[in-house]
Amino acid sequence: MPSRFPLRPLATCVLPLAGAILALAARPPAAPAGLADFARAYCAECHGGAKPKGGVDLAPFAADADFLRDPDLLFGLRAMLEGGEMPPAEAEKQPSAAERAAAVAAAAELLAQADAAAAGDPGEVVLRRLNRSQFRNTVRDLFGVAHDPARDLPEDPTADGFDSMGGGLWVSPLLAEKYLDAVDTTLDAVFADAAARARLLAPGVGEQEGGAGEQTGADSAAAARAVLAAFLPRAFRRPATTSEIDERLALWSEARARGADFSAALRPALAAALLSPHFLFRVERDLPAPEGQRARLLDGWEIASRLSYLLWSTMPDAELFAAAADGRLLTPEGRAQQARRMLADPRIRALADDFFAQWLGFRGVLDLAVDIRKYPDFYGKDLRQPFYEEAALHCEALAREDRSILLLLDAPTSFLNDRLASHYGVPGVEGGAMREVALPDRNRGGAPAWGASLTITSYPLRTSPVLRGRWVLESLLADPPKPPPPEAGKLPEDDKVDDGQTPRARLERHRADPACAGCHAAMDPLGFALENYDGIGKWREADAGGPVDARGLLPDGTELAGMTGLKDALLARKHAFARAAADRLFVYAVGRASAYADRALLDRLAADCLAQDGRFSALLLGIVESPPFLTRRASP
Amino acid sequence: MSPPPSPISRRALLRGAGAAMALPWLEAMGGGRTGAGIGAPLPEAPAGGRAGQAKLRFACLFMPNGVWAPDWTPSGEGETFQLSKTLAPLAPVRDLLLVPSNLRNWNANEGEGHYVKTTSLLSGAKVRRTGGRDVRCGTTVDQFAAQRLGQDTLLPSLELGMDPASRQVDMGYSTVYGATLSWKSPDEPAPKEIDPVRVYERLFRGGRRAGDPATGSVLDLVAAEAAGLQRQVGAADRRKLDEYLESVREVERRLERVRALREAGAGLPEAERPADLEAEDFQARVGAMLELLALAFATGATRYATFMFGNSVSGRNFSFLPGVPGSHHELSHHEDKEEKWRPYQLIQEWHAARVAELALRLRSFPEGEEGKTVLDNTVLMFAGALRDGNRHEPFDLPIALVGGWGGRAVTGRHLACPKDTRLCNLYVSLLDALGCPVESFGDSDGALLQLQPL
Repeated sequence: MPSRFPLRPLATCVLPLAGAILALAARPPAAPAGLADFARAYCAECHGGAKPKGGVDLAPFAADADFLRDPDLLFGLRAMLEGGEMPPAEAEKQPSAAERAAAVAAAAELLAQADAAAAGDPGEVVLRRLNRSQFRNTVRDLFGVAHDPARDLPEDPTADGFDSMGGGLWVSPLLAEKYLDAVDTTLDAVFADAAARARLLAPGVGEQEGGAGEQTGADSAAAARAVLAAFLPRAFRRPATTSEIDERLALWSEARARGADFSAALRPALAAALLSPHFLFRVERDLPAPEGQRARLLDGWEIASRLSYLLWSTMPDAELFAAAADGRLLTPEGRAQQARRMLADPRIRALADDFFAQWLGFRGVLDLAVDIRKYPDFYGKDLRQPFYEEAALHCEALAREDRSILLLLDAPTSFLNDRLASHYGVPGVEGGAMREVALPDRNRGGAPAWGASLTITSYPLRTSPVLRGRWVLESLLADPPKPPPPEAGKLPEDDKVDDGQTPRARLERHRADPACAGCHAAMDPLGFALENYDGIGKWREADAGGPVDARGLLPDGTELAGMTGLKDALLARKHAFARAAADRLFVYAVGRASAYADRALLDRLAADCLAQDGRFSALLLGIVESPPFLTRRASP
Repeated sequence: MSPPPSPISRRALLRGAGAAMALPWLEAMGGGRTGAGIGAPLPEAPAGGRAGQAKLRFACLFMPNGVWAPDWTPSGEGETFQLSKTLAPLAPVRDLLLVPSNLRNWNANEGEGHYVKTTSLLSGAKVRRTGGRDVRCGTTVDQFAAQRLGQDTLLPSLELGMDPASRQVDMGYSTVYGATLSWKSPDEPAPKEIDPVRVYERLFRGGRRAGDPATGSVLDLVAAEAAGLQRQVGAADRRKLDEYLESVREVERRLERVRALREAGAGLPEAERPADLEAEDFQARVGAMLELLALAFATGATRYATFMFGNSVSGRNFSFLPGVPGSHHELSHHEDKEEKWRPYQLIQEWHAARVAELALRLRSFPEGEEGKTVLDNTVLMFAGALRDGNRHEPFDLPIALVGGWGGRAVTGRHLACPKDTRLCNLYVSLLDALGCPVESFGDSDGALLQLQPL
C-alpha cells in the first residue's frame, strides 16, 4: 500500500534510509506486524474521525513510514501499547498479546529509524530578534549609558515558555516604528553623556590632532571611519566588512554635506547600525556543512553571542570577543573557562530575570493583581518586589555560586528582608535590604515555598489547589496536565462557603466527574499539600471552611502532608525534576523546542548533573558542549 | 424596562478622552466637503465609491466573554424590530443599526473555549494549536482591506486594545491568540497598541521624522542589508527577514505619505494629546481610545481599525458598575444563576453604550452631502466571538453593525438569517462595500447583504 504522504521530509535528508523506509511502506496491508494496520484495527474508532479522542488523530498515518514524521507521537504510542494503557480496558476490540507485541516491536523499529534519521541534526533554530531586555542590555553595554531605550517597546510574545524564541519574535510596522524611536532616544542619550560620547569618538581621536570634536576638512573622514570601524564589530558582534563600514561612512558624508558637524553627522551612520538586521537579530548564516555532515560548527563569534545572550542577555564583553577572535571558543577548555567566568560575574543576574523567572513563573508576580481587601498585606507591606527578589536572588546564587539545582525544591535558606520575614513569620530579620537567611523550618525555602510561587498560583480572592498542582507538574516535573475540555466547569474565584461547601469540597465534587478525574487526581493533591499558605503565601491554620486540611493522596499512593510532605515527594522525584531543568535550560539556550531527537541528550544531562551533586555548572556546561548548542543545521 | 440610554455629553466625552480635534483644520482641508479628510488632496481616485464620496471605513469593536443571550437578540424581524435590553443604548442610532442574527463561525467550533474564536472572528480561519512558536490563523477582513485600499492614508490600519498580551500558554494555545483580533497574514498577528498617548503620537506626531533627510538613507541601507542577508539564510529565517523588510518599507511609505501631504500644502491632522492615564483607569482609557479612533476616522488618518475592549477571557473587574461584583470572565460562567447573569448582562450593556458614544461621535463630523456625516460612511461592527459565556458556542454570534454603509445597505433592521449562516458571508458584503469586492472570503458561501449598486 503506498504511503498517503510522500517521503520528502526524510528522503531529502537521509538518503541511506530511504530504501529501508520504502521497503517498509511497501509491506502488504495485512502484515500483522504493521503499526498502521494495528492502529486501524484497534485505535481508529476513537482516534480518528471528526473528533479524535484526546486530540490524538491517527488517521493521517496510513502506512508505518508515516509515523516517522512524528517521532514524539510514536514514542508515546509505544509507551501506551507497551504499558497496556491503550486500547483502554473498556474498548470492545482488544488485540491479542501477540498482536500487541508485534505492534510494540514495529514501533521500536520505527523509533530506531527516527533516531538514525535525526543523528547529527542540531534541529532548526529560527533567527532570533533581540527581545526587549536583550535590546536594552545590549544598548547599555554598547554605549555605556544608563538609559532604557526599551521602555516603549512592547512586551515580546513567548513561545515554548520563553520570550526569546525566534519563532515567536515577529516584527511588525508598529515595532519598526518603535525601534526607530528607541534608536533616536538612545543616540540622544549617548550624545548628551560626555563620557559615553568620548568613548564612542575615541577611536577617531588619533586620526587627527585636536580631538574628534572639532575635526574639519578631509582628515575628519578618516576619523569618522575609525569611529565606525571600531563601533560596527561590537554592534554586529563580529568583524565588520569594509563595505559595511563604507556604506555608513557615506551616510556620515551625506550628513556632513548637509552641514552637520562631525559628531552629529555620525548619527545617521550609527542609527543605520542599530537598525540593521545584523544588530537587531542574532544572525547565524546558513553555510554548507563539511562533506557528509548535516551541521556546521558555529564560528567563535557565533558561539560568543550564544553564550552571552544565554548567560547575560546581552552582547559579549571584551574578554569574550577576545576569546572569539583568538579561537579559544573553538575548544572545550576555552568554552568552559569562559562559561565559568561568566557564571561568576554579577551580570549572571540576567539569567535569573530572563530564564529562571520565566521557567518557574515568578516573573508573573511583577504584574499580577490580588484583591486589596482580601489581602491588604500584599500592598500594605509592599510584598511584590520582595517576592520577586527572593526568587531571583535564590536563582542568581544558584548560578553564581554553583549550588545544587535541588535547592530549588527545598532549601535551608532564603533571601528575605524585614517585610518578607514578618510576612513569613521568620524572626530576627531587620531592615529593608534582602539578604540570605537561615530558616527555622522547612515550611519556607525552595521554589514551592516562595511567596511568589504561592501567589502566582492563586486567584485574587482565594488559593487554587488546581493551579498550584498544575504549576508543580508543569514547572518542576515537566509533566503538564492536559487542558480541560471546553465544557469543564469553573469554580468561583473566591473562597465563600457556597451551598455549604468549602472550596476543597467543591473541587472534590468536580473531580467526581470521570472526564475531569484523570488530571485532577494528579494535580489537586499537590495543591492540597500547600493549603497552609493563603493566596499571598502567608501561613494559615484555618481557612473560610475551618481548619486547613493540607493532606493529599497522589495517584501512585504517595501520601502528602503539607509542605514538608510535598518537598519530600519532589526530592524523591529528583530525576524528573533534573530532567525538567535540563529541558528548560536547553530550550532557552538553543532557541528551539526540544524534540524527540533530544531525548537521550536531555536524559544524560540530567543524570550527569545529579551525579555531580546537582551542580548548576554541570547542567550548563553540558548544554554548552552539546551539538545543538555548538552547531547549526547546514544549508541543503 | 430597559434604562434610558445615557445622554451623551460632548464635553464629557472630550474630557474623558482628553483629546479635542482641531476642527478648523478639518474644514480647511475640505474634509467637511469632500469627506475624504487628508486623503482628499491625493491625485489618485479611490477604488470604489462614487466620485466625491468618501471611502467607507470599518472598525470592529470586540467584546470578550460572550453575552447573556436572552437580552442580546432584538425581538421582531426586519425594520419593525424591538431593541433588546443589551442593545438599548444604541437607540439614538437605531436608523443605522443592522443586527444580523444566526451567524456562525464554523471553523471556531474546535479547540478550547475562547482564544480560537476570538482570533478567527475576522477571518473565519482555522487556528493552529501551538504554544507560540508557529502561530497561525488567517488574514483578517480589516487587514485584507487595508492592504488593498489603505495605502493612501497615514496608517493603513489601526489596531487598538486595552490589555497587553500575556506571556502564557493556556490549554495548549498561545495566549497571543486571545490578544489578537487582526492578522496581517496567516502567520503574522498585527500587535495592538494599548496606550492612548502612543496611539496619539503615531496618529498625530508621525510627521516629526519625515522632516529628517537622513532617515530615508538609513532605512534604505538597512533594508538593503536585510535583503542581502536573506540570500544567506534558510527559509524560516528568510520569513523573519521578510517581516522585518516589510515593516521597514511600511515605515518608509508612511514617511513618504507625510512628505507628499506636506508638498501638496496640506497640513497634518491635529489633535490634543490625551492625558496620561493610569492603567487602572479603565473607563477613561476606553474613552480616550475610542475618541482617538473617531479622530483617526474623521481626519482620514486611517479607514480600518480594530479595538479590543479586553483580551479573550478577560477577568476585568467591572465593579465600577453598580451591582456588578467580581471578574468579567467569572461572571460569564453564570450557570444560569440570576445573581451572575444579571451583572454579566450589565457589562454587555455598558459596552453597547460605549459603541453608541463612538457612533454619535462619528455622527458629529459632517461629511459629503448636506446632512451626511462620517458615520454614514462607516461600518462599526460591535461583536463577541462566542454567544453564551457559559457555553462558548461560536454560533448565533452577538454582532451589531452600526453605520451607514455609504448608503449601500439597508439599515435600521434586524436581519434574522437562516440558522448557522456563515459569518464570512458578512465579510464578502463588507469587502464589496469597502471597495474591494471578492468572490469569497474565508469559508463564505455567498454574500450576506444585497448591496445597492454603486
